[in-house]
Amino acid sequence: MSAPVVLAIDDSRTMRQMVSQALSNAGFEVETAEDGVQGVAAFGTRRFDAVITDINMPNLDGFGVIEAIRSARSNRRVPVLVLTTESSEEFRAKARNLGATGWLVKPFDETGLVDTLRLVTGRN
Amino acid sequence: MSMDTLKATFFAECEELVEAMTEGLSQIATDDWDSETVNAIFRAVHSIKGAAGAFGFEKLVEFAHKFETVLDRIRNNELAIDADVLRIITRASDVLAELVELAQVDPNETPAAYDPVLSELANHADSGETAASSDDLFAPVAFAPLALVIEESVAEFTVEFEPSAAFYRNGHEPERIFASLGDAVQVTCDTSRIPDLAELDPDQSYLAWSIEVHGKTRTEIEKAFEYVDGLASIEFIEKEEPAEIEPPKAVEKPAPPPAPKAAAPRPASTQTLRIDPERVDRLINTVGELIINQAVIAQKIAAGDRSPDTEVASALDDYRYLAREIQEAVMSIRAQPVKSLFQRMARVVREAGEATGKAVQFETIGETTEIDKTLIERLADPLTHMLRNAVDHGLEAPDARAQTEKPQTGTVTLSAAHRSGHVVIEVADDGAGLNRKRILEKAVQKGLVPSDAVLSDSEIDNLLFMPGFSTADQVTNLSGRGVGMDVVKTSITSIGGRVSISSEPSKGSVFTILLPLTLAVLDGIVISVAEETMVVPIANIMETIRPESDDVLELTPSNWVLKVRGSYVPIIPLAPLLGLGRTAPNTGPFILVEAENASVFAFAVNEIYDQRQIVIKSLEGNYGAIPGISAATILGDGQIALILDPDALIALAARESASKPRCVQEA
Repeated sequence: MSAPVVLAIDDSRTMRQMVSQALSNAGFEVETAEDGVQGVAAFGTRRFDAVITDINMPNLDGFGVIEAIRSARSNRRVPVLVLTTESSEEFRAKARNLGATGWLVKPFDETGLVDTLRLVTGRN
Repeated sequence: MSMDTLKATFFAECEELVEAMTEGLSQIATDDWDSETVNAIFRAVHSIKGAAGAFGFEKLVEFAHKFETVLDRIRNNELAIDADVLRIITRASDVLAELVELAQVDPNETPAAYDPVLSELANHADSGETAASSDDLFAPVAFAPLALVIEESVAEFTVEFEPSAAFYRNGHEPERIFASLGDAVQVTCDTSRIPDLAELDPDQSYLAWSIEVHGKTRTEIEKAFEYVDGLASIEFIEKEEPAEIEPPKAVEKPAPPPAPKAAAPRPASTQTLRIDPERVDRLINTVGELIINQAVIAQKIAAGDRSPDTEVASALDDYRYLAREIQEAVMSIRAQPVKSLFQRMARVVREAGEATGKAVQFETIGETTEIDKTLIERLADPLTHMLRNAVDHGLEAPDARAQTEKPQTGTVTLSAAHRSGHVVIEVADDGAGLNRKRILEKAVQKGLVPSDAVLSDSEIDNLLFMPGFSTADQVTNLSGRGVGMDVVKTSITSIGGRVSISSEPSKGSVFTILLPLTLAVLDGIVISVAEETMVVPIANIMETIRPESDDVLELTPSNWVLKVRGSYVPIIPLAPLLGLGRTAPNTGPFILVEAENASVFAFAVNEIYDQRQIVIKSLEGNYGAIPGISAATILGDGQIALILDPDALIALAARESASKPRCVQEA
């Protein structure tokens, strides 16, 4: 089975690098995008096993990304995780109502991220 | 993963974010802004906070968070930007920028303004309701892993699990959740609710499961269902105590937080490629070798017996041309606009203005001028010092300024430009200009010049750069910290640059820094001194002269001058100065060089060959610092040649002649 492919969307280069490194070390293949618009565009280019998105981003925020991805029926099965500094219940509820699969709070720990990704993709 | 690499990325990114933040603030300051401007500032601060948390930079996170809260209120129109708010956010951006810089050394360090600005931010953050709630959000979740471990016993559980339609829409899969519970799971599926095919709606959920879990704690099981909370009905039934049944979970409150609006498209950011500087260095070195290699081939062909083959010669010309092209292209990779440096300097000027109580307007020219990144980094300290000086010593005190016809607000200008293969950076003020009388008095008083010395204006101005010179009658704690302009000069010289000064009474002063475009190659003239091949950087050379014999005049056995178009230039014989022979070949040829204080000297050498571009190989790293020698290079024939440092040689010659008995000069 080929490596699961994850799309990581974050406007912070540092965060993109962190996520990429953590997931690559765990055997995932990672593609990154710098904002929501790029993220949605990248999502259309190939089949991803999961998406991790930041919320606060220029051009299109993470909520917009979730909406855009979930708007196509064929994408409903793709796990979309939110990775952000916000952690309130309102916030989670909003993300969940839009179709987020799960959430992680920054700063994240590597194991937690990897475990969550494995959980939602069902890949080990 | 390498934390250092990540930190490097973080700090590089912070630099850009601080730049974006500063840019936005200056737009607000000039009243040329819209809501996206505030959004952009907010995002910059937010990004710094987000990543800083990952490194445990608590001070940075704390500050960025407060700052962000205030910005959030501004973008939600809860707080209007008046002069006071603008001042606070400007100061906050200064502090944040400083925190980022400090974090590179010691993340626990804070600038002096940290606490006062933080509390000012708090004053503006707390008056709104959103501020309080977002304070809660942020939370120490960040750092402390949950310390409390409750001993939980494993038990047999049955989980009744019935997902809603939203469960599937959100990318969840029941089997993945079951799998995450491990092997000791028995799953039974209830398919009784599946309708007839005609009535089946594929978007609906019809299945329910009963999962028996063995050997797991309740927390562990709950963890597996964490994300589907609210998307499914989940009941936990503990086998040993069947009485305890989990009450249905509360439905979450519907109130969503104010959604960050999808921002208006911002101007497309320039496409960039990030490269590890080391790779560029390697490339530059290799290109350097390529140029040397080209010179070697050229020399081999020239030395060959065969008559020069025109085809080979023209191919070699192409080679040289291409090598130069590659080199220029590689150099341009390292070039960066001085903008970020200049923006940082705006802060320096602002702080200096506040500290001295002078109203200062800071203007920058040529922010897009590109110079080698290494140079940019090493310019920050000297420029900081020069700008503080410009505000502190250059501009008049407010009451003194009021007596002139100048505007109340003083102007300090920082400019950068490319000029004939160099970068010229100027720090100008419209203050009172240098007080030459006082400078000279001071220099005499400090024994830096003899009391009967007759100096030109420019020579007096350049006394400022002498070690141990400080003009301020009163040492202010801003710029008179015991480091004088000599330190500035030393640091500029260390990056191959030169600094000079010009001043006009009551109009102001201009400090000019002349820098090479790069530190890796230089154009030089190859010479020989006592049979040693050496290189003189072309930047220092005014001209080369093969004089008539009667143009060389002996004043005393150790003092010779060269007559150049009616004026006399002191001769410095390089061979004895470099310890390569006692006798001075005083017949020339000569290389006329200009010293930093604008006086001219003639270096007596044995032979002048050609002008070449050479690759600088540092000596200090491999050998040690040698006075008068700045570096070395490898020539086409494989020979190593030393690169001379004319300014240091002139200084060396001056010391040598001072230590010799002085002869009375006779015409």
